[in-house]
Amino acid sequence: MFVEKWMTPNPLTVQPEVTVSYLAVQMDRYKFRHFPVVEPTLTGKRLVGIVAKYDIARGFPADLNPFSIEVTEDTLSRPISAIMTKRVITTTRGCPIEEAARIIRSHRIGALPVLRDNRLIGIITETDIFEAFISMTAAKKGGVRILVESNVEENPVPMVLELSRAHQVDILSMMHFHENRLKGKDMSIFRFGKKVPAAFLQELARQGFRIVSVGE
Amino acid sequence: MFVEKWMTPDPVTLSPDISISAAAVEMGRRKFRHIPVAEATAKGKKLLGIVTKYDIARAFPNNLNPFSVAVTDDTVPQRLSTIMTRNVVTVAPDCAIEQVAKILRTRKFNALPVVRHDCLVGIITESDIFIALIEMTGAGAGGAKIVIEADASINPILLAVQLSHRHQVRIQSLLSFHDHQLKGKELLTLHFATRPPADFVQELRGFGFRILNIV
Repeated sequence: MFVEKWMTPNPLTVQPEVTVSYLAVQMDRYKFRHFPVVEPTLTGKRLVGIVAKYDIARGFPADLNPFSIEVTEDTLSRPISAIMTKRVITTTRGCPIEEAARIIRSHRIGALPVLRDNRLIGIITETDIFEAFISMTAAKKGGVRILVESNVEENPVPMVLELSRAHQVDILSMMHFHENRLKGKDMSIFRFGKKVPAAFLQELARQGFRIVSVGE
Repeated sequence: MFVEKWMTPDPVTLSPDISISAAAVEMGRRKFRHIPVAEATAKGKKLLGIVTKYDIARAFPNNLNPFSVAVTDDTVPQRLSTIMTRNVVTVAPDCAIEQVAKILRTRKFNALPVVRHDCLVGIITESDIFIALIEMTGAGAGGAKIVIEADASINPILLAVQLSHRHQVRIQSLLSFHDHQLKGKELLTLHFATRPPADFVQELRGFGFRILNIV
């Protein structure tokens, strides 16, 4: 649930003196879209900037297309300190993953360096958050997904827990949340390890919960 | 929780006959990273392909940086159809949102056109999935959030829900999380509209719950 579990620890970094084309080559080699720029200190790496793939493209002159030429390390001598973003938005390892998602989204950025005592310890990217989301919803584990709508006062979770025990179906994941766009309604998504017997669903419906869908 | 709810309906599309630079201009103007290529039919828009910002950038000549020159419609005159991806992976509007997340991740795509009865009805992107995740987890919704770790065997979710009923604190969202790395432990995020009273938190502790975080 926290950034620490999903981040890449000790990410690859570059120093501010390296050239734009050197970094372009590195990005291409490692298929990373963001590189933290750091200065080494006795206590670790001090973050001084971040460079995204598009910053690199914008750092090329008007008469050079970095996407269609063979870029080598000395195509350009311009240092990345000239193009990096200096005021970096960062996070900490104890930040909840959904909060990191919110920060990334609201600033329209792709990655957040993770700092501890002012030193770089990791990076968390959009891709990591995707992985977290997929894992949270157990989407890779298969099974059956049931979507339930309920009134705000009636949380279906206890009933579903009880039924799943009675019918011996494992719950792989569950999410219950308030649905802003449906006034006064909550939604719950349950993922079960195997097909849920009809009696289970009937009982749930009898208790007044609306089963919106049953699927994969 | 389905694609239909989170997608951009009736997305902007490009005709396969426009020039590559005209597509670049359009993408830059709208700040899109992908645009479906489609043609109008009597039934609706028929999807022909998709282009990304990178496809377009790579189609520019060596001596023209697509990010820094003043690009006009005839800078790169070849037709868009020559560079678009043709066999596009699509999803149906009733596909589960987390399923789309899985497809985007495993196939390394950033967007999927949404197709119903052979017609383009929407596009769903990484950003849309982020918004879904944020809404589903109640991030940014204010209120208070408690993250708990407990033995899965004591059924922590049931205990927490029953306790909140008893204290009449309404759970706005609830997320359970268990995986093999947690070894019989379950992580639970409870999100409340307001900060729950101290005795509620005390009782949670009384169940043997370890409270990792209260925000």
